[in-house]
Amino acid sequence: MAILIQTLISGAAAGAVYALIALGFTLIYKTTRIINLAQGDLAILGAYISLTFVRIGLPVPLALLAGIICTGIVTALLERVALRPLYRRPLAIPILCTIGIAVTLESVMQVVWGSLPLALPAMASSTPWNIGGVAITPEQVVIFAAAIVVAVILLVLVDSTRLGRAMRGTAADAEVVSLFGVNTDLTYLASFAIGGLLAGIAGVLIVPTIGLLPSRGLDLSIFGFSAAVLGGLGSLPGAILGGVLIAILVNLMQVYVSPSYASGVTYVLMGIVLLIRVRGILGDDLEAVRQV
Amino acid sequence: MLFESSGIKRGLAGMMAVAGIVATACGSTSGNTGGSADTTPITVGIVMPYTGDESYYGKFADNAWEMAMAKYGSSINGHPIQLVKADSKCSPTDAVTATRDVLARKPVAIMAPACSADTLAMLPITTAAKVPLVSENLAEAVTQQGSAYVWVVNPNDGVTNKFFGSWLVQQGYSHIGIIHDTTSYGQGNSSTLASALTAAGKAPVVNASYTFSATDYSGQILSLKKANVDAAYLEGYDLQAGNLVKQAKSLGLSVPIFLPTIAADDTFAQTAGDAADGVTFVTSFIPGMSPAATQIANDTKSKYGYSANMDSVGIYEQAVAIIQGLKAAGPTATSDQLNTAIGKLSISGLPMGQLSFKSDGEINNPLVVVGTRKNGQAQQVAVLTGTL
Amino acid sequence: MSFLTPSRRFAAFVAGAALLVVVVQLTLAGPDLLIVDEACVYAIAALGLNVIFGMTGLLSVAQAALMGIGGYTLTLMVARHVGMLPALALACVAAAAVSALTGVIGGRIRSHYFILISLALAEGIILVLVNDMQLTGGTNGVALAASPTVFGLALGTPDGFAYVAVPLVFAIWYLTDCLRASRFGIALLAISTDEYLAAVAGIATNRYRVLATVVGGAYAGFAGGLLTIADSYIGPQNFGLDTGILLLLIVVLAGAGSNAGTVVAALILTYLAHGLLTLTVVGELIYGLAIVILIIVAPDGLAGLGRLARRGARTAWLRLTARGQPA
Repeated sequence: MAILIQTLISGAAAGAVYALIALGFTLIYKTTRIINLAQGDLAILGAYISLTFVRIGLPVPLALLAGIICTGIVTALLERVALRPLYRRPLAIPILCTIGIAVTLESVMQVVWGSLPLALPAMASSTPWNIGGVAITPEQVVIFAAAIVVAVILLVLVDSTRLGRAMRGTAADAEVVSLFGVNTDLTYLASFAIGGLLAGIAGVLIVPTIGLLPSRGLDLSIFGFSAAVLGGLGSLPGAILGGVLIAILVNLMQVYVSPSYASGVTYVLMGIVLLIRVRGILGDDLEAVRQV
Repeated sequence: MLFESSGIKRGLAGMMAVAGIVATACGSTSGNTGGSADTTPITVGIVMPYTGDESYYGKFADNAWEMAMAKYGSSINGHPIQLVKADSKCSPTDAVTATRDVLARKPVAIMAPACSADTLAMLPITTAAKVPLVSENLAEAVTQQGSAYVWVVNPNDGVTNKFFGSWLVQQGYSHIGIIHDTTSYGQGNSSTLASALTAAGKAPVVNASYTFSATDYSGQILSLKKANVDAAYLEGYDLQAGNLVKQAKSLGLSVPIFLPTIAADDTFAQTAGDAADGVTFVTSFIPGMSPAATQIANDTKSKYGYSANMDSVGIYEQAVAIIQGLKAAGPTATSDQLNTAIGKLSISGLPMGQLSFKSDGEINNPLVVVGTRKNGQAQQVAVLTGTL
Repeated sequence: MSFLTPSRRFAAFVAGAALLVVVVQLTLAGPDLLIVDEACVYAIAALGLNVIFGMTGLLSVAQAALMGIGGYTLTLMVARHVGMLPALALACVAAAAVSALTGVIGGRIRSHYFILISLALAEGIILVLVNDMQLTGGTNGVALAASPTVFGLALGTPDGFAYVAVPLVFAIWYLTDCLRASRFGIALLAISTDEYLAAVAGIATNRYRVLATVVGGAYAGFAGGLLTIADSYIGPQNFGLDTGILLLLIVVLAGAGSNAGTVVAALILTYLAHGLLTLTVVGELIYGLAIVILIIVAPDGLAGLGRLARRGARTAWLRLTARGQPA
């Protein structure tokens, strides 16, 4: 019984990691309809930048903040330079461009920081608390809390603020919305900049647990997308739900069924969701569903 | 219908025949001869990952040759050794391409890449070309393919784990759990340990795997706890193994933890932090275990800034074996003759003990050592076989 | 295009193939020949992806994993003493069947989000290939049990393989052109242009989408089998997302569903990704940047450039021969 509870708790904690990536991915999707396949790489970039700030002597919290802000700036720059020229083209093209950006980012990181694994200092300790026979580390609690806080902030932003309304409108129909005086270019820029900030936050929180390697970016991206699809494309609470659910299911499979094929559950689940209910558990966005 | 006259057909056939003859004439690489003039360089090939996640092996290789040449010489009777390199990227098909690339420059020997799967893919090609392949790979399959042109400078996992497995059982452990990654190294390492344990009468009760890209190991660790193991063998590359051990300790896995040679590495120690203390590992190289070992550890640290480990030392010994083989065979030897010379080598004073080979390419008198980590340092605990 | 009647077009393909075989064998050796061989294999797989994405609009990164299915099927069949040609056929069938799965599951998603299901499939396939050590040898891979020879040419060597691969690329290119001009191809064009109108016009959109994935998958299986024959070896490393992305980029660079563009782009991108700059640290970086720049700067890819060039050439020709009527 203790093992079962531990499995669930550890799963939830691991899921919060995927959820943080999924949140950024979902926000960008919700507001621009673009699937940003570089989200994981941006997160790792944020961690690398933070590490550089730590190395030049900044206190850790400031270094992490600086890293997050830089990631937002980099993402905004990328949007302006690489993605803006592509908005008039079929949607597949910007998606492909994010793939190119992901490849470029990974190789930049390899050139600048090398391919040996590095370590980023953590914000919270990794010595576990033992509560009733179940081990949970402060680090895991921080990640989980951060995911929830970020999701709440985003929800408020997107639902209630003017910028959020502008973002949703631009995603729905850019031409019409511009008639209402919304600067669509600036809106797209804002969406990506915020997505970049989210990636940075995810990176500095997750990397102390999983280690810093250029190739980690792609791994994170894949789990993030699966979580977003399961939870519902375009739903922010769905991103958290999806992440936690996937991680718990994978963990249960690993402990009770088959330790080797357990991660395959992620893919089977994605397949089932896309077959039965494209909008996922909480999604209400119909953009991805064919109308024919 | 297509060709109005058979003349065109014959003409085309003629051109193709000529092309075919020219192509086959240019393509043959059976046996190579070294230079015949006085100072023609001796070509030695290096196939190593120079880009990608394992690119540090490429760096190890370049530095290893520097150190080996400094100690054993960089030319044979006035003929300088010329290194030609190709990138195997730790991917078997890229390794095959890299090998063909290197073979086109007619080397007399090739230093095999650090990733076992790459070497296995290259072996049929280098054997057909009669070029000796000197390797430090840990997969036992490398010497089991029946090739007469492969030489492995350190004990493979089959040998190492045979001794380690029976040692574990002797120490009294009967419920052993294994966690390993799905890379070629991880699969080979864990399956040899599992067979050794089974042969000693205590088959592992859990054998769980994770992918190299996994970010969380709680599922695997908890499956070990569920099975009430009394010892855990955790395998991975330095980053993964470090995280694995750290998470195991934080999830309350309190049984003794064992690891392969990776536990002697710095990156593992940094990643695992405090969790690294007290783990036990099996290896063929620990820095303080002998004067030669200490020497190379100091040299590596002072010249290149990283700590020596079984991989970097193995690569160094690959280079030494090739140099000493060339000395024995002579600067104008063919690759075939060099192959025979390497097979007859017997080198002493090396960090991992005496180096000589059996006829199938495996090392004679393998050195297998058990170590532990205390206070941030790796220390030797027992010698399971071989002489220091 | 009126200059090339169907029979002239066929002759052009045959002549082109023969010419290229000779040129390749005479001018290239060793490592360069290996790149051409690899480019041929990727060209065939990319032509299949062109059917799936270029013609039907389904964005997929699974083409490389489907190549893997084909390659492993071939290896397993050859190990059980099945002949090389039947094994290749089975490879096509296996890959086509798995690919059809994506078509069926993706039936309800918009084409550009098809990438999600293809991603799941690609990763799932690699997971099985890597873990099922009994069947597939795991990460170590498996050597091909028999190396085929055709008329005395050993297909396991770079030059032997080139003799067969280059004509095969031309043959498959020709077939794909025929496919595009056929009823099937026109239906796919309609679906990718405006699905609603296509359905209104009576085209069974679902069925054609699945068929497109089947056909594209068969190409991938064939290419995977060929790659295994060329290397006399198969390992899962060759069929991951890296290669899947490379194939997708080939089709994008080709532009507008063009087959000719796909073949040329395959050569260029294979050379960039695996040939040029392999030892240098910045090689990957240049590859990534090239992708982004090409996508931004060349909206219609090589096909667009080709069209511009042809138009320019025709204008120049007309001016030269003064056939144009003054206004």
